[in-house]
Amino acid sequence: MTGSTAALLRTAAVVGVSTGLYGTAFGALASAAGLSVLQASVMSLLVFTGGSQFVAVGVLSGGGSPGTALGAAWLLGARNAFYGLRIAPVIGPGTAKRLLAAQWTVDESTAVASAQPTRAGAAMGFWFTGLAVCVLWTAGTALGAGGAAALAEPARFGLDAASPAAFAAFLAPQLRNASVRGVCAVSALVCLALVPVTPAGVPLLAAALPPAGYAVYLAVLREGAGR
Amino acid sequence: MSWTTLFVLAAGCYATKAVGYLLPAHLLETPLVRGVALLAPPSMLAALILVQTMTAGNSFVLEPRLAGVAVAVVLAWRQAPFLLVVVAAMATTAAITFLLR
Repeated sequence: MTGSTAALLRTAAVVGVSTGLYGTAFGALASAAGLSVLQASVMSLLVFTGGSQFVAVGVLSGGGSPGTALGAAWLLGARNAFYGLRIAPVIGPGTAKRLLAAQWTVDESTAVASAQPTRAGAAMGFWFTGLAVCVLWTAGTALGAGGAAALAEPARFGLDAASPAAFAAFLAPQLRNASVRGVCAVSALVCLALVPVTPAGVPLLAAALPPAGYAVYLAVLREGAGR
Repeated sequence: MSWTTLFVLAAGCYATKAVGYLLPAHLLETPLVRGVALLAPPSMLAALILVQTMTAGNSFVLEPRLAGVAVAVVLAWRQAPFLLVVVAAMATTAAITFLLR
């Protein structure tokens, strides 16, 4: 997932297409939960963070209140704040640019950007992927909501595996580094341990604690060495 | 879902995404924030993969997609092309779903 403009465009297109496939699964679910095709599509365009959309629709269709749905969706989306920290320096200054970049700061665009060795490559990877995912996620949602009956069971087409599989492909190159691997393993364990006992979204937020703890530890070590 | 709920959801999600861009640049250059910014995305991605694959709400579930995602993890680790990783995961999941019915 590194290299020239052409390679980055290809990566963005492929990521966009697989996100679009996952989008059809979301569209089908949203439609089954009572959203119109227009509502589902507008949601994908404006909310534009898949996990939060799934959670919001899931809570509402399970009989939860709008307040609970919003709370769970926001909690799950809070990881995007960390992605923004990662991407902001890549994007550089310019208010309009940053306003759009914020909207497109999601798992996919951050993952492609993070996999690039240079800052210019990271910026290009971010913008290409953000655009491709925005267009195809929204289009996939519209298709899925329109053809909901045929897609009533996403597992029949393996659609429910598309998103975690894509994330595994993003994550694998970063796991070559032993300390990243260790921190990720601890985060995964913390997250799974919290699943049965906390509301949706909290386990994922807690997954940010081990990397924060490790960063503090490294900073303290560095300070000690500097004296 | 009402349009109001939908727009409030969108506004809240945008606000979260914007947080990282609103923090002043000099803060981003401290080793601590840089460390968190570099390590948090992969950690949360790892957690997200497990949550999407193995859980539904507050419970753990065993669904065909677990096998699909396992195939994806092996292929991804062996540096297979992105599309192959995703398609193989979907095909495995679809095949197992078909066989189990």
